[in-house]
Amino acid sequence: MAAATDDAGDSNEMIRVVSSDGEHFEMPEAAANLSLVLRHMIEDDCADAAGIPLAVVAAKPLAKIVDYCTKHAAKSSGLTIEEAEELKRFDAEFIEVDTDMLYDLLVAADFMGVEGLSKLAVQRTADLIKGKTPEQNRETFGIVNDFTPEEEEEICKENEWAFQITKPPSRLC
Amino acid sequence: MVPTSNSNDGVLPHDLLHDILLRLPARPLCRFRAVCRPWRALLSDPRFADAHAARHPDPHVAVVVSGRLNSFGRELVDVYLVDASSGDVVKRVCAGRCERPNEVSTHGGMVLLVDNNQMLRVLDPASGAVPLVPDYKDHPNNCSFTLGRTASTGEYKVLRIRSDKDNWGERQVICCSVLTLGRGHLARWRNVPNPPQNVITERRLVAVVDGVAYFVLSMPYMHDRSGSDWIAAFDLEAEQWQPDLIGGPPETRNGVLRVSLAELRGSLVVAQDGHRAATLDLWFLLAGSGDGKVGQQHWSKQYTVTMPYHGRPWRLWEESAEPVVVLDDGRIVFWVWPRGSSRGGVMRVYDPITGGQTDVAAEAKCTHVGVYTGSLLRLP
Repeated sequence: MAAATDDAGDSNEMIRVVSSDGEHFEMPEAAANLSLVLRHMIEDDCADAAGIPLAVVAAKPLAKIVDYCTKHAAKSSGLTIEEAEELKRFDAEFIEVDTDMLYDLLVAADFMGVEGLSKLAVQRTADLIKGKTPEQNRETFGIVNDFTPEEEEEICKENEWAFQITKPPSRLC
Repeated sequence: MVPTSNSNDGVLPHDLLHDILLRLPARPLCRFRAVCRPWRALLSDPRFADAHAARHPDPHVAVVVSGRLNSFGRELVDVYLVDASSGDVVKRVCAGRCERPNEVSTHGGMVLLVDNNQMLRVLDPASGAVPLVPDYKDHPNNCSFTLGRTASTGEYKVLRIRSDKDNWGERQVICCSVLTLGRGHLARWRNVPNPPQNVITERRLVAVVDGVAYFVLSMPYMHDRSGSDWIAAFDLEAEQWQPDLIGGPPETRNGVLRVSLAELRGSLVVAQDGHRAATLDLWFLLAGSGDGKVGQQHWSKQYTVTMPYHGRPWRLWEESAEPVVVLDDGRIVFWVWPRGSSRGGVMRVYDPITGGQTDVAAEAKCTHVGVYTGSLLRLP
């Protein structure tokens, strides 16, 4: 995770960002530094009063990301065990979102280069789809089934073991 | 890819999808090959399989089963790859006719069997290929074979130990030889020195850990040396026995009969079956801590498992449990052999946190249980 340096932590400067749908947000510089993209912009002196425009991040996920970065920047160095635990709890609650928001967070965190959040969202997605059927996955990700019924049957046959969800203890053969 | 407020009509960027799928176990991944063509392409890609194997080292259990008859009524030996936590069969590979199914050795992604013509068969369960060991001189009947991999080069080697009964009916090691696999017709058995003391070659008293094969000294030597070191070690890379014997865990000195050796989490493990105390103790041989506080190598009792069969008065041929593998989530897979038999048994998954146990599979004609660490995504 990109840890804020002491310098950045002491800095009280607020960084303004603008979502794709024109909403303005503010966060401390240390928080903005958790995003690779924002950090580079700040280093290049592109952070002005008008705010950094984020053309592909909508207001809803951006608000969440500002929350995430602000929380993590405030607690980034020299964590006690309790603080680390608290941050873990924060993450767990933070990522309890519906699939639309999860999708937005995945893409936005990846775009903005917020490593910690990206990992969190990727793991959450993996946990969500782990027990699902191919059909449920198509629904979740909005994927069109491009197999013919014969092909699909063939794949299911080839991977038969993976489709048996539960099985009572039994003889192997 | 532009996210919108209702973005499920989009498809995830490839890199993100790759990261997400890499975190899933092999089972859902094989299932998700049926989602769509791009997913199938990714999930069938050998590069993805390699990345996945590196991230999920969780092994499968290889169960060797004899007794299936071919159309001529001859007994065949099959190797089943079994999902360790569910007991589901992932794959069955026929190893052909192998008269003495007890002489099997498993290591990494390979299974070694002795066939009816006394030839060695090396089975790769992922591909189903069964190459014969190229040196096909008949092996004498009284040999044991131990398959292992050298620590640095990863070469598969077989240690053959030939032993004969002496005048008192005790097996004595006559000679040892080593063969390197994968050398084609150039492969030859090379004679290597005998162990520093006579060893037992029974499979449950042999374990290969990090390129070293460990053996238990045979009983007459044990009696002579009670309280002393009783494990001999053969380095597969150097092809030499280590000159010094290794002492067992502190509580096993007088109960060597009821121990078995295993490899768990990369350590040599002595499992001590204390039926009287109703427990199976797992002792791990751990490296020194580096700060000098715990010396060089030391034994650490990491688990005391209570098996349902325990609590009865202990008898020599009672039911017995053999630790097979520790899963990523900390649960331990055991194979429990039936009383008075080296055939059959059940696969039991033990949870050290709750103490709970689940029998996930049973096989009446099992003759050998080992660990398979190859990638399942690569299975055809």
